[in-house]
Amino acid sequence: MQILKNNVLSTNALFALMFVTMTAALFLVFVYVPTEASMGIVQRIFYFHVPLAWVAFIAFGIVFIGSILYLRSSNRKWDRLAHSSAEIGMVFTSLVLITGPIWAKPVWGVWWTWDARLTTTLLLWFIYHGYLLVGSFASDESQGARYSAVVGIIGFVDVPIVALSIVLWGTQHPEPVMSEPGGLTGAMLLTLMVSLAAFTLLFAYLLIHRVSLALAADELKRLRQFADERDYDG
Amino acid sequence: MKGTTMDNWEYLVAAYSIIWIAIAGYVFTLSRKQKRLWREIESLKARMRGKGED
Repeated sequence: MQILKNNVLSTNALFALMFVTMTAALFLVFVYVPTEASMGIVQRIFYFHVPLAWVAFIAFGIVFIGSILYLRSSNRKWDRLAHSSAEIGMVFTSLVLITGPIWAKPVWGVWWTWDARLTTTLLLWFIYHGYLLVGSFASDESQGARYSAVVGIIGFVDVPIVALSIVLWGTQHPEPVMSEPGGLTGAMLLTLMVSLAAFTLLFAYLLIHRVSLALAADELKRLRQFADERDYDG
Repeated sequence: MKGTTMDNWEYLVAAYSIIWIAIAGYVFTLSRKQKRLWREIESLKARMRGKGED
């Protein structure tokens, strides 16, 4: 809560920057970028599908770092950061898993195939769903946070597997487009880069708000305990 | 892959609509929870201040 109150100006500036970048990304996707020759108009899903996956990877990277820092320090703020990041990562991974099949249906002729990239991404979704749930099974909050941190560290192993699945196994999923010769160039590359920037800013904005919410919930809990001890409440 | 480059626009509309509806829904949920927590904290603080003055 206090973080949010103290940083209203910076979060407003971040929102303004995100809004401008996102508007530019939408303009580039729907007006500027040429239609891809083989897949046609549906290929434009790519300009948001890839940034959604990118943001999910950043989110789970933060879960990994936050989990390590929590286990080292037992400072609750790292658990709050990791948990908030995991929740946002789940929103974005869910959208990756929804927009992927919508793109696949007209291109591959099927909504889903048990291809390595798709399967490891689905596994990623289950791992972080488990991460969000595991804390509630523990007998006390700090034990739950420790369980979650362990899942957050081990679960991150799947992130490089998802990223490298195209290289490790022959998959139907398109190859990495920026690292390959003959990959994206010109207008398409510019559009992807602006979309990546827009979604990264959106993630930063959401993360600040989600962490503030977690800290506010902690403050409310602390105040309730304080009130109970002094018989202020009711 | 079937049809011409402008075919399948409904898939494009569906994908972008789902993305924005989901993100807007998430932001709305966060904002509602934040307001509720803020209200509860302020009300609890006010009650504690009131009792403290008695």
